[in-house]
Amino acid sequence: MSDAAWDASDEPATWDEWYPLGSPIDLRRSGRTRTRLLDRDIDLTIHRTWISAACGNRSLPVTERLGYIWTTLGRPDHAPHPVIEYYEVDRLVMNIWSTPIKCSGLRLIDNVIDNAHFPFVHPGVLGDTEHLDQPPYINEVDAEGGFWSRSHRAWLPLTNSVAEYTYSIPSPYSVVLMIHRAGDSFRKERYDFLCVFAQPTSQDACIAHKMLAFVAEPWMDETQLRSDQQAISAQDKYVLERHQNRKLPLIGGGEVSTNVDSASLAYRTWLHQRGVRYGTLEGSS
Amino acid sequence: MASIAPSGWYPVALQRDVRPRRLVRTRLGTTPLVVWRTDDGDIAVWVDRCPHRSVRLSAGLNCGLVLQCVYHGWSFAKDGRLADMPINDQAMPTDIKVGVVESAIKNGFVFARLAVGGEDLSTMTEVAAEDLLRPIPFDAEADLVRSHLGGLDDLSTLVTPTGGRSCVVFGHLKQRLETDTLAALRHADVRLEALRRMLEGGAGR
Repeated sequence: MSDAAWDASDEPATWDEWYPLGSPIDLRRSGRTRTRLLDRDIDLTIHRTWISAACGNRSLPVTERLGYIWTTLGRPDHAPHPVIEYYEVDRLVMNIWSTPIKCSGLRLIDNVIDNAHFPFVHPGVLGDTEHLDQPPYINEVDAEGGFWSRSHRAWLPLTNSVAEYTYSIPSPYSVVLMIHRAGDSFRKERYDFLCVFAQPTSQDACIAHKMLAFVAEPWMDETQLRSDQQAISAQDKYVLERHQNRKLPLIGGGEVSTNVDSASLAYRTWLHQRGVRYGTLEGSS
Repeated sequence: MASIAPSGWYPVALQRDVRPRRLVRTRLGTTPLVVWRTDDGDIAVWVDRCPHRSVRLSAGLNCGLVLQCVYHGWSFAKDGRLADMPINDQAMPTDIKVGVVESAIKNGFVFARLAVGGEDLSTMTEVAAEDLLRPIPFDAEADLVRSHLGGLDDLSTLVTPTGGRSCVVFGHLKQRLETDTLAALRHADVRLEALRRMLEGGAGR
C-alpha cells in the first residue's frame, strides 16, 4: 500500500497545527540535531538561549510552551493550546518522557481517552477486575471546535478511590486529561493535568511527549512520580505497538465497538468531520 | 507489503510446539496467525487480530478454554466466538468473532488453509513424530527455497510462505531409521542451515 500519494500538506486539519519536538532540556542533553515531522526531516540547531528548527532551506517558526519546543510546517491561526494552570506556582510540573511509538499519533490519542483498558493494561494502578463499571460518557464539540469527553471514571486501587476524568482534545494530536481533585469549602474545584502531545513523524509512527502539572502535595516524590508515569506509558506502548493496523480507522475499518467505546467513536467521527485523513485507514488510496 | 494469500494447505506449526497455556505467532502468506491449544487438547488457528481494536491476539493470554486479548480483556472461545466482554453495560453481542482459519492436524503438523486449492491432506504419507524436522525460517522467497530443496533426497519438505521474501521450511525424514534418528535429524538441520545462510547471504536474492 503506497502512502506516497497522500501528503499531510494536502490537509489543513493536520498541516496547520503546532507540534512539539521535545523538551529543551532533553534536546540539549542529547544534542539532538534532527527529528521528523509529517514525513519531513526537521533540522534543529541548539543556540545558547534557544533552539531553532528548519525544514530544508525553510526556517520554521518555533515557540516554547509547557516545557516543550513547538513548531509548525503550515500556518495555524492559533497558538499551541494553552494550559494556563501549568504556570500556577503551587504546581509540580514535569516532562515525563518523549518516546517513539510505532503507530499513528491518532492511535495514541485514541488510547489515552480509553478508560476501559485500565483494568487490563494497568492492573493494580489505574483499575482492577473488581471495578469494571464505566458510566456513559458525555462527548461534545465546543465553540472553538475542540472535542471534549467527560464523565470518565478510573478506580485507583492504590488509594481505594474513584477519580473523575475529563478529556479535552483541542487538535487531532493533543489530549489534555483533567483529573478532578476533591474540592473543599475554601477553594474552587481544581484539576491535576496530564497532557499527551503526539508528534506525527509519519502516517504510522509518532513520538509521544507526555507531561504533567499536578497541584503539589507534600507526599509527592518527583522521581517516584516520573517513574510511575513512565511505567504506565510503557504498558500503553506495549499495546500500541501491537495493533495490526498502525493507522486509525475512522469509520468501521473492521473494528467492532460497543457502548463503552463512545469516546473513541466520537473522537474518530470528530477527526473525520475535520477532514483528517493522514494517519487514518481512510487516507490510504 | 503486497498481499499474498496462498491457496491450499500449508503447515504453520508443529503440533508439539503448540504447548498448553502458550500462544504461537506465525504467518501464512501476509496473513498473521495465532495458533493455540485449549486445555481439552484442541488446536485453533485464527487470524491474529482482535475484532475490537485490531490488537494482535498473540499478545494476549491463553486462559485454557478462552484466549483473552491483552487490551480490554475480551475473551474468545475455541470456535472463535466472543465468550466474555468484561466492561460492558448491555447484553453481550452474539455476532462478534475472530477470523477463524480452516485448520487440520496431520502427521504432527498443524496445517492451515486460507483458500481452497492444491493437494488434499489425505495424500500425505504417515510420518512418525520422532522424524519431524524442526521448522526453520528462511529470509528468502518461498519458490526460490523450494527450488533448492530437491537435492536433499532423504528429506521430505514443505515450504510455507510467510511474506513476499520469507518462508518457513517444515519437513521430515523420508525413511524410518531404527537407530540414529537423532543423528539423521541433526544432519538434516546442518544442511538446511547451510542452505539458509547461502540463500540469505545475497547470492539468492
